[in-house]
Amino acid sequence: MLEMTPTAVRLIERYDDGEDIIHFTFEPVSIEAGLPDVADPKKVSPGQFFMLSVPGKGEAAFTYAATPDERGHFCALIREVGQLTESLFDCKPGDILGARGPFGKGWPEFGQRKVLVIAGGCGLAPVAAEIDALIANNANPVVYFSARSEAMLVMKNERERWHDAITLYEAVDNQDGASKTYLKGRELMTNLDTIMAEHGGFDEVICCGPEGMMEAVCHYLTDRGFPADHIWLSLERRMHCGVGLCGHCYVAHDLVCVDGPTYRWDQLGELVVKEKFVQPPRELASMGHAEEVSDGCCSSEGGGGCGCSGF
Amino acid sequence: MPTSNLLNNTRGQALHAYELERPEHLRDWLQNRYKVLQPVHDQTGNGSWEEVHAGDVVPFDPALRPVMSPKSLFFAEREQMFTFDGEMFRTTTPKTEHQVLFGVKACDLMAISYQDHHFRDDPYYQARRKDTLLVGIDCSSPCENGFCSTVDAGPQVHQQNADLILTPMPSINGHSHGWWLICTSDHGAQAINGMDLPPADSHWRYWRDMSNEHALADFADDTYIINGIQRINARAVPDEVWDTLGHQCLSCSGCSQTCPTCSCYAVRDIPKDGGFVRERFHDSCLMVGFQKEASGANPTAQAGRRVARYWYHKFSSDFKAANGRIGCVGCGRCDITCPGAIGVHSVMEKIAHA
Repeated sequence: MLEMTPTAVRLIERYDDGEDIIHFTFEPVSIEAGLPDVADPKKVSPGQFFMLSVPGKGEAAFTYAATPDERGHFCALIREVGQLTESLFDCKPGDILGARGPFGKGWPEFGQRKVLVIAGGCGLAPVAAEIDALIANNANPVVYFSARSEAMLVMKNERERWHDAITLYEAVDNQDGASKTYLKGRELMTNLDTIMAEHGGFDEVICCGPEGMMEAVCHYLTDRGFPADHIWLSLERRMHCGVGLCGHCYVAHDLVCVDGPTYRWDQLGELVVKEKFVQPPRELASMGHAEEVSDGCCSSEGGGGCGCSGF
Repeated sequence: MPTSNLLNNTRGQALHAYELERPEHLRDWLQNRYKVLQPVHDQTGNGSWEEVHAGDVVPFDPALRPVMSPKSLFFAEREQMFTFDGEMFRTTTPKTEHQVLFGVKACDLMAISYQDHHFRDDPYYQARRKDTLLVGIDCSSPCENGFCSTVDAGPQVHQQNADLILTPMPSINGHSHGWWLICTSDHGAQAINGMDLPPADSHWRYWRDMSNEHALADFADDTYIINGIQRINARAVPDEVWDTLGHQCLSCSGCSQTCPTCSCYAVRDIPKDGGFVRERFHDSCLMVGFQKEASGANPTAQAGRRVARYWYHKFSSDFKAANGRIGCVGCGRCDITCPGAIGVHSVMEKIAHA
């Protein structure tokens, strides 16, 4: 049976990490019976998410910005956007909250393959743990991270660490008042050209950010012959239960909470098409009939596509 | 009772059938050991599933199918999931007792089987379901709005969907000859053990199939439904058609409430004693906020997209791989309920000709 009751967790650390964004660290309140699944490093993989309950305010899905360590400490990067996060932002270290998980499919095992990570804004959070995992694997990933402004370049501490270990490109849309020069965020294609020229030959690309950005990245890559089945995305939907029961996070016949949130681009493309109206090619639909049934073919309204007037 | 054979019975071999003068005899027997619920005529005129106590003189109306399906007897309309006292979370386990749903129609039984699969790992649903014995009843004629035969759900009860099945003996020259009781599971066999019912005439199977043929012959023309299903599968319904249907939807969620296979839910936290309790309650994908995220982003802000979703989920073959069948069981309740005239018949007629 599914466990739908949260485990009590304690907020142990919080710090500002972007405009209206706080970096939270949690730990299980009790580990007498061993680490609960939600905080067990053996159970959680990068790209998965957990459900966080703010007592009396409700529950929402958050990605593991850092997967649990051996003490069961795990992190989330959270932006204040609604009532639940507003209450969460009032919480202090020591406060008790609820958490359950891990849920969804994480990123695939990339081993030592050469990976390009592309993230936009808060989309850095779902890929951050994967970047750490790739670094730990000596896979030497290349990371491109873009945000609206310098203040929105989230996960300062993590990026500082990454700068020492790997190549990290940073871009911002609005350079006003920036403390240093960044790549121009609005010139995504040019920036990707630069990265491809300097590093080229990636085996896999993982991308997370606004849906428009992810689509642009996918088209950029596939236009240049990069195989769609080596591009990985993380999708955001309203995850309510996390276990594939409540129905809220559907995309066509998938439920993002169990079938995602990570998707391979070609598979996601198929799903998206299933939600669209499809028109068959017109000429094929009416092919041949005019010649075969020359008399009375247009007796019914609209005709058979033969082009005659019916007389 | 040769219970060892009965496991095979669920796979369609050597079913045991008995003669039964009146369904009430079985019901009264079951009341000795179980809480028994059956469809009851009530003041609303809609009928409802209600407990019938031993000694109550309540007739059993084989034709009555309440507007609300038995769905909420397993997937509660509103229920508590857990409590939080400020320090600890504690799961609330539903209080259950051995119960019988007496006289469930083929459509509702197919829906229960569909829900059994969807909620197979849901502790709240399963707590109620595992203690429930299902007594099905064959329909001898189509009901108003029903099209179970089109979607392979009835009018005859699929034997794997019930523990016991009541089927009327054929009426020759207008005389009713009583009932056959078919035992299809171990649970069913245990429930009637000791009743000492006479075994059925060996032709019962032939007559049951003949009654089914009679019922099937009475169904109305369903070409537009088949056509509508094909158009949904071909994704050949233009967006404008869904938009027009969307304008007619009042977002009342009546279709979801009455649909025996709708399973969406939402949760809410209610403050209590310095902590809170979390409740879950039925939700509907036709509500504008169903997919709305905290950021305000809403993938299905347009009513047309939500209506398209609803019917895609009910009829598309895309769900067969995961659910074993399409989502609709042909009960027609959405059509009875919809105040905006976009129940299943109106929708399928429109999209069949779109």
